[in-house]
Amino acid sequence: MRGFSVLVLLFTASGGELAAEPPRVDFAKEILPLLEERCFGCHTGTEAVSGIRLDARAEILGETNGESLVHFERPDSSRLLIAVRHADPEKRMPRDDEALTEEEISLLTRWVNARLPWDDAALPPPKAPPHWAYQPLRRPAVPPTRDAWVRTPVDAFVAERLAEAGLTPNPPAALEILVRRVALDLMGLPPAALDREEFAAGRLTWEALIERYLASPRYGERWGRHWLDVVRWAESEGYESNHPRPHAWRYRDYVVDSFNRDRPFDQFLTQQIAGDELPEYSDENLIATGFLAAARISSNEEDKWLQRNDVNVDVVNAVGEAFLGLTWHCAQCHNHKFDPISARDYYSLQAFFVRGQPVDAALRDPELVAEYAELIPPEYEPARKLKQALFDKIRPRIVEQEKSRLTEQEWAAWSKPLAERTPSEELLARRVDLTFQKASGSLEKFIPEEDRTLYDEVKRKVAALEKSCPPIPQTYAWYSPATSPHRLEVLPALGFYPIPFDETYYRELQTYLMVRGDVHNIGPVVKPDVPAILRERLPLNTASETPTRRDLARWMTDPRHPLTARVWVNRIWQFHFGTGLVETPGDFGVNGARPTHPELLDWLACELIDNGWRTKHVHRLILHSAAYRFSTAARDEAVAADPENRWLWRFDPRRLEVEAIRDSMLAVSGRLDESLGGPSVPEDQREASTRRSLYLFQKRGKPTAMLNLFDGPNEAAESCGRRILSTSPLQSLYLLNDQFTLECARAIAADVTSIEGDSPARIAIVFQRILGRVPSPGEVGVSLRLLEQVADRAAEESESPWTLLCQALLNTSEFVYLE
Amino acid sequence: MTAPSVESRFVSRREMLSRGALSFGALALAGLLHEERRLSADSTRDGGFVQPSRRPTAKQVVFIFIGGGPSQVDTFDPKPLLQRLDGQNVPDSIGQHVPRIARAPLDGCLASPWNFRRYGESGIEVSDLFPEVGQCVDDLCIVRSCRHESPIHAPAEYLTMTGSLQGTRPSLGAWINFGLGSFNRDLPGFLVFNVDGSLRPPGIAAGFLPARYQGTQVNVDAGVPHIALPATVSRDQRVAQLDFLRALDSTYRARHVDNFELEARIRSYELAFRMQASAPEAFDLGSETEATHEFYGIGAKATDAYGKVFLQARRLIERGVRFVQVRSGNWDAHSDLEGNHGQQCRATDRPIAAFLRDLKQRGLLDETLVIWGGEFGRTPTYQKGSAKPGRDHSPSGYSMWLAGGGVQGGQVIGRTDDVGYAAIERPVHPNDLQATILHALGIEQRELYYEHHGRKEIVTVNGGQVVHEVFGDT
Repeated sequence: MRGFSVLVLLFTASGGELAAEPPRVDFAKEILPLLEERCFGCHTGTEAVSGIRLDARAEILGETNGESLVHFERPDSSRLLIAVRHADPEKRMPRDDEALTEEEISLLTRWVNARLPWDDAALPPPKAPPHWAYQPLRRPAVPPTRDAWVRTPVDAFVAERLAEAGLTPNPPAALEILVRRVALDLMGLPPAALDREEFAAGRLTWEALIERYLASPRYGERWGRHWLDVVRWAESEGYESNHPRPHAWRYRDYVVDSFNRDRPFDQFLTQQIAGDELPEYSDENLIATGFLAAARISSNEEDKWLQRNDVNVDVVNAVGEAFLGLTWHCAQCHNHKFDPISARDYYSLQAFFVRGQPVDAALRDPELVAEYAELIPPEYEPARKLKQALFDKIRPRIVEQEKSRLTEQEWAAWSKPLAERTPSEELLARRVDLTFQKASGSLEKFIPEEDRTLYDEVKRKVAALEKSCPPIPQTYAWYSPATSPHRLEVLPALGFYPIPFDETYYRELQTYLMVRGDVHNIGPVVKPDVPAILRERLPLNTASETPTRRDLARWMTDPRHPLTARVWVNRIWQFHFGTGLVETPGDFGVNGARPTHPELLDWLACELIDNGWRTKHVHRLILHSAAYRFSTAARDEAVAADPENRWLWRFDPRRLEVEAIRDSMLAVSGRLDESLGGPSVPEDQREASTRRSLYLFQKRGKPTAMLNLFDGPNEAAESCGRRILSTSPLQSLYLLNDQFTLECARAIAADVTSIEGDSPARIAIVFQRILGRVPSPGEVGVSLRLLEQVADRAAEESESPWTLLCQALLNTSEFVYLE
Repeated sequence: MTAPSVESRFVSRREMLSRGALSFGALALAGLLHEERRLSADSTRDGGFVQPSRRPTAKQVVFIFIGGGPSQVDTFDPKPLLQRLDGQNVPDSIGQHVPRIARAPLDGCLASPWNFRRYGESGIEVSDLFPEVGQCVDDLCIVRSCRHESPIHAPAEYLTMTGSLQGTRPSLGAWINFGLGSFNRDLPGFLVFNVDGSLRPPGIAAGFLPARYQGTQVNVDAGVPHIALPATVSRDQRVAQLDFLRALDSTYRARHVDNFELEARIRSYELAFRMQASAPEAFDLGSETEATHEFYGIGAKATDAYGKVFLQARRLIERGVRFVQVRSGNWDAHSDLEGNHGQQCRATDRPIAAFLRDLKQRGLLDETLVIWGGEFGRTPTYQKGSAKPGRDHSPSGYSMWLAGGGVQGGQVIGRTDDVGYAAIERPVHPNDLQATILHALGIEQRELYYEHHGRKEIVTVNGGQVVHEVFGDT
């Protein structure tokens, strides 16, 4: 209500001023020519110097970035007037030019006094030029085609572009290559021998092969890993203390399971953005919010406003990029230079998220709870709760103690409800907040004397019991006590200065635009809303005064939304083909790439929506096409005409991601531990583990040696829609000299030498097993030569020649490439 | 034996392009350069994406990162007033200019336990913590007015090493490795000594650049990771394996003639083999004389570890490695300042001084830029709650120094207030320092960029200001 009364006040003040009849100003005749002559040289358009533009009234008023250049109540403090009046020529505007004349200055002053009258006919408000990605989605007709190779609608769209470019496509790849391609693509593992045989013999159709892999749990592991990249997921806090998040794995399992069950993408999105707000509680909904909670946290940060804001910025950037395919981070500090996203848009989107935070929350699954109850001693839970209750008395004690050090004004500002503070009180209160922050380690000294003995005793007891207790079943989630209808049990946070979980704060919180991204430079109040450029066609549909994340999810999954489905089908396409139809999967904005096949993109997006947002439906549409089956061969004339393969005349070969390389080595050597899900392999056991790579504990900044060298996920600080893959001699050294490759090679060699047969026959087996094909006569020749050369010089302790052959094969380009 | 000049072994890609391009004419060159920009994300290249636009004064860089925050008022920024105010509060006249950030108490000044004395012709004062480095002061440019706003280790370190607080951007070494490549193709171009295991990975990471440009951690005993052949594989066996591998990879490559990644992969195995052959020599301190060992303090208990690291660093600079980072941690003297800084300085003073002298004597200092400093300094006031006094973190005014590579030695830049709390003259932000380092390498900060998320990212994020005085320019 406070905001409303301020408005009323302003209105009254302005009414009063109007009554005094301010001097009339004619914008078109007097102001515009002056601006044009003296200001517009630098201060127009999105590239305006210092980001200050004078060609739009809203910009002068700071409506989009929070920095008003004029002050109607105190016109003399208007930045605009100060700048033109400045005595120091270094600071005066126009810079490096003659000062404005007295008359010109007084004209501008009158203009400000008159509250900046404008003439939209003379200078209309700027309008962003139309951009393809913001246009409504319409189902394009499948182009007619007579090309013989065309099998599916996807092919028809591809054929149209190829014909325009005067290109013909490659023939299909060999069967053995195709089966390997689709196995690595869908499962991140090479095909089993049986699949290869059945497919080669024609006992298994292409479509049946695809179904087999889509039904395999390995599919969810592979595609779940893609998604974990997109959502910058990891299992530690990052920054300085980088505390582990031992329960974050449940989100990873949720993702894998969602792909395996073909969870509709609209539901997938909604659970991840608003799981805690959904009316029906389920552990799964809560676990899904691990997406938001995956933000990095600087738990050494004493400034809680900064600490929370860093998390909120991370969340907005991730949501914006992962689901909307727009880069947001520029608008944190200033209006986006390329896309029509203003700082106001940024903080309006942020306002959906600021009422919650990452927490460790207890789960409710009766089975888990019962299992846990059986394992813990009965005295544990009461002791833990008692300890917490005693601990909770600390905060009032700290406040009591610190109060004496504050001025009356500071105390008054701080004790006022957040929503009732004026901006200056808000800033004062934030400074006071700093004095209340104590390192978690030092908190215990605030336990009141009368509780101390009891606290020490119960603390010892809890610690002793915890040695034998499993942790409470819990998940690392995002939870808002203000907007969630559920009361969750929030467990004590880890970290030096963790984000305080303060329900009152979240209920009362006022959301501001932060000027230039500075958390202590608060601008106007903003309400949760969607970006203006998208709002025009598709407004947020809500009755609530404070829209929630659930409202946002509903808006994002509206079938009319121009971005959500396009962005997702493009990602699917990219993971199949290596490059998306839009080359920049996280940037559909003005500065991103334009689609090579816009109709195909829209057609796939419509197919996704019309088929219940089922991801596997889109997989089938793509995989059944002839385009997916083209060979990778380079044809001179096609390379010359389209070296980047934009028109898809072939299938681009590409190096596998590090997980697929490591997992493939484990698979072909028979060492792969196929167990699904559960807690991650602990940090100190990762190098020796034979589980799939996505189950290795993902500590920020501390990947395993192999993941680090081969461009695996590392800091996971922001959404990664497409990995950069690099090639370096250090990778070669790793694959040649590390024990991991050698152990895989030994396992294969042990198997093959136990088989009866001459060397050429065994060589054929080794090739089949590692590369999935028979060797050429030449390759048998070089293999024989290698076996002979290394056996000749082998010392006592040497690896067997077969091990050295297998190790060399595991190093081949063919093994680490998807062809 | 003198090492061959790195210059003679190095012709930049751009130079080769422009030389070769003379015959194609200017248009072709423009096309090639355009192509080069387009390929700036190309993972098959060894770096060298920018050609310095001016003559560089430095070709190689050694960054001695002093993690934890070395105290300015106890090392390179003498404050007689602080000595007199021991135990008293910071006077209001000074205190009012100290930025009000967390951890900036104004009560309880702590006099430095160390004396300062003048060194060299310049007569610049250095504390008794650094008697050997002090003797090199005529080669040092001490910046006493470093300043930023984060009093927290990790963000402050990331700001210093990567340009922003978040720790998500490429580190300086990665940028330079990407931008300039290295002179020595048989060793990685960005090597890091993590002396006491205190490394924070984002400080050496490639960020959004390809991983190949990240810092490679090396140590004096094992050298480059995974460089040693497994004990069960002989060199001849490896040669046979590589012959086999080349045969198979060449066939595969022939099917994809236009795929340069595959070509790069084949080459990476050749490079790995060469690295395997040359790295042991580069990392063999045994080939240095006993006098040299002693010069660096190797063999003496306090200085042995850093002595080896800095001698090794000199060998790597000699061999043309572009960027060497030495990380020393544990300078975080919240308590027992005397014990902490005393020990850390005893361990590093002599090796660092020996390194500077050795480079100089070999004529390498002229073209090697050496930087010393941490993520911030420490408060002139003492931190409460400890029997032996210490100091808290303070980014408001702290010292770093630069030497070699065109730096004008024997000078001091900037000034802090009279207790050494806040920079009051010529403040230098970490982004300014980065711009200055690039400048020494001949690079204007906006020339070295990488397209990421649709933005031309540069080392200094939004731009820093070159501290021209460092080079004696005004």
